[in-house]
Amino acid sequence: MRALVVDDSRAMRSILSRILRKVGAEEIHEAGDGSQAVAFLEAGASPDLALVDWNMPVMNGLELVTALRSRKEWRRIAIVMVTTESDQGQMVRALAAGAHEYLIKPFDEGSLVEKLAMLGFQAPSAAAGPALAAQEGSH
Amino acid sequence: MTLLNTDEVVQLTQEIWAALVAPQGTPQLELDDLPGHEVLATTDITGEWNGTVCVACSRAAARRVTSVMFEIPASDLSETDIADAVGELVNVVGGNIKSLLPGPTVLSLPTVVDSSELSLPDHLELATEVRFSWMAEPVLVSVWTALSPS
Repeated sequence: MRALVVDDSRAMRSILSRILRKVGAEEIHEAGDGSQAVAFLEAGASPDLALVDWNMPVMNGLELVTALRSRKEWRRIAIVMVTTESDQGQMVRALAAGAHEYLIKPFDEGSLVEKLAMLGFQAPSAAAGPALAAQEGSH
Repeated sequence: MTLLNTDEVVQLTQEIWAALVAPQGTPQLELDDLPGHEVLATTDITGEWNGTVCVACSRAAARRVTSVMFEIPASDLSETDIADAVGELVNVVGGNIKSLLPGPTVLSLPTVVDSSELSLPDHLELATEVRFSWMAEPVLVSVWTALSPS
């Protein structure tokens, strides 16, 4: 899996990237706002997944989601919004704009892993033996 | 009218710490006013409700938070790292407090300063303040209401 993490906080990007590595991401790129993400994609990058914050300078997460859905070659990118915005209306707007999943900060690692699994992204060991993984996780 | 109660602020602060700074435990309520709120992070809420959310802590606490979030030894952290991590902390605290207030509202990007460099404006009135102790270091979460111009 190739992933793009878009958040204006380097600390949050660091946390998200660690979780992505655990679920088997082979390539992780980071962007500090939506415009950096767009520039990265326009340079030819082709991630499978984007984790996108909402409140960012220059270009916010909703604008980025809209941009990602406006170009045919970017429509295959799965998008998870990871944000403090918990208002139901904003959640609906993000999903209507084209985000696949929505996760509110703070989140525990398991919640993000679960969202990623729902999108088909999971660690090879988990994919091979979900029952065992679930058993180990319950200890 | 009190819009926020202390219990809500305590609960959400502890949940945020548990999620972001998990290995180091959660802050506990502290009745004494521990000295040393050297790092001050703020975010503004505007819209149906207007005000400011602050997280203040000692420099040592800020370094520990940053060290956990980046997984970098505290000795290797830069001031930029600390501002980034504490800024994200107030962003998450502010976002969760925002969800408890009347909306719609918008959350600003966070600001992080040395507390000696900032005094809150006169038009802000303290609504809620909760003092914590985390690893024997002070952490303060406060919510300030913007008074309407008279």
